Amino acid sequence: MPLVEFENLSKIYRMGDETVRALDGVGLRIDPGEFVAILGPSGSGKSTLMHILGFMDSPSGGRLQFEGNEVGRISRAHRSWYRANRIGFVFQAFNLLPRLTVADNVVLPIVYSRSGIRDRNARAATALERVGMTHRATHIPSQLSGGERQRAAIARAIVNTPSLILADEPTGNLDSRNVDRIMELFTGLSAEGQTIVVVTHDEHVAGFARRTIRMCDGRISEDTSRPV
Amino acid sequence: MNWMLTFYGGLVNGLGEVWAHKFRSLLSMAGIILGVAALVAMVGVVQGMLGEMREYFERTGGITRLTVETREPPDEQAHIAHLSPGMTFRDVEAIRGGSPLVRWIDPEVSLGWRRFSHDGERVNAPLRAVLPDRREVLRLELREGRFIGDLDIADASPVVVLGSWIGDHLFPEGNAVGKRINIHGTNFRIIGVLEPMGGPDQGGWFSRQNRVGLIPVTTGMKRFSGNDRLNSLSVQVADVAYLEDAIEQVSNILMQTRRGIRDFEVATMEEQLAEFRRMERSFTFALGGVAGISLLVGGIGIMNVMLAVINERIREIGVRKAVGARGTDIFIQFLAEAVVISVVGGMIGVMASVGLVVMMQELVEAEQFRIVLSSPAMVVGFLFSAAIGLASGVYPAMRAARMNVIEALRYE
Repeated sequence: MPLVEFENLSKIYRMGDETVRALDGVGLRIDPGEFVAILGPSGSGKSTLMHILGFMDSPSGGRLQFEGNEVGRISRAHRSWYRANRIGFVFQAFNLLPRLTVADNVVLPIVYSRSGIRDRNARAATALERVGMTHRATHIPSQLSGGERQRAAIARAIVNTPSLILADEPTGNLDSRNVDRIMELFTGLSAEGQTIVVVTHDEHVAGFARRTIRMCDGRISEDTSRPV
Repeated sequence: MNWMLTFYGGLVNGLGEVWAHKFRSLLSMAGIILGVAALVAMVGVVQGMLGEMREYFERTGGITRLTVETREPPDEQAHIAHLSPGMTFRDVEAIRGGSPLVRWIDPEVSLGWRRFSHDGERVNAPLRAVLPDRREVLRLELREGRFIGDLDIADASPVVVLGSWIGDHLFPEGNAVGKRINIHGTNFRIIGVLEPMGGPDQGGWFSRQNRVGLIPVTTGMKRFSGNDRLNSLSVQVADVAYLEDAIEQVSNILMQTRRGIRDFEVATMEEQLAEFRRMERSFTFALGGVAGISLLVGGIGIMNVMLAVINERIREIGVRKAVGARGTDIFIQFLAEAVVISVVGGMIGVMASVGLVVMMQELVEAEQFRIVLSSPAMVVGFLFSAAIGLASGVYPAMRAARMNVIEALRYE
């Protein structure tokens, strides 16, 4: 069973008098365990695709299945449930809450998923250990370097053992040494069977993924996989 | 259960936010603090005032007291109205003889302000001629000596009981009993001096009762007024259950002494009681209005701050939503924060009110005006401030909850 399957997916925005087709008949299938990079210039529709993949937005038309369920037209509350329980986000700007400690930031998705209230601190500790940030658990984000912040954000993304990690330009704010460390962390997670989709415009970053999807004008222009 | 957990988390988070922005939080609480403090202080003032009135009402016989009031006779009796002798001492004798439901009879001949002099010292005070019953009706206590007795009435003796104020002024060392005093040219023997009425913190009616001279009613009629007319007459009924019967009894007796002319009315204290209740109600409304407005202003302040806070934290809202927070979670979080501000403000307000009331008590003591610290008012003020916080937090929290996650994440 595919993890995600699109058929003829479209997203149309109305901006004043103009209608913008951000997605124009996209078909795509992602299987569990895949490591996918979505590449494309700005305005190509890759961000819109990621928002829909991440249950932050709903498509205007087409079919969208997630783990075999039709999820194209579900309520906002239902979408929050998917975000809390099935998706892990990693952002370019890290988006850690500045006043919370690293550990408290990592706990957030557990709080909102309403699962395992009792063992949440243990689960957060496991996630922090996985990204090598145990020694920073009680620090607040402003005391961390960029690479450390992104590793804390990845710990937050994996803490609920999501079906899919979505990373939106995860290395955009990092220096080249940290880019490789973060991408190696993703590669390691992928090797453990974690499905990962990275949205980027950086060919070097895309090179870490096994499958590369190029987008242009709201359509998929190229879909290549490199052999194992 | 889950929302309670979220609310609890919101409260903890809210405390953190309040602590992180101490000065701003204090400013946003200012309205609530002042509102609660003003509420408690005003309730204290009004309760002190009303408490004094209630005490006066009870001290003057309460609901068991009946007052005989003079009225114009009805039109059909106008031409024979002059046949009635009016309110005289004969009324007292008739009621005493004919109404077993009446326990005390309290007539008064008011003899106006008179000069009381002793040994070259003199003071002016009202002189009143009364029966021994006066002592029971007003529950008068004697500092020394005795009150007017039945023999004094029978003999119309030239004896006087002095109020504590006169006693203090003419006999600072005490031992007034047995001494002679000259009241407006007539010599009287002092038989007793009264205890002061009311506490030192009571003013008004109570302190006026201390500046008075009381003589037997018969003495007053014989030596001063020269007739048996009374200025006021009231009776105290033994049992409130027979109030209606007593009114009828007294009315029937008076119809005889007044020769069938209805130039009187037996009034109960119900009117005064109703008046008292009206006053109590209007005070409550005035108080509620002022307190309500100031707390409303406090609520607007909190709403304003919450709207600003939410604008500052759009990014945070986006992040929380991205990791799975529902609109409800965000709503409860910001509502809890508004409640934290108002509840902390309410607590500070209650503390401030204690200081305010104590300060006012210090300041107004000289004018003999009572202010009480009302704990129900503190509780009400506190609960009200929490409710205001809840109400003023709803709109900002709703705005936060409805924010679009993508736009919120993009917000710089």
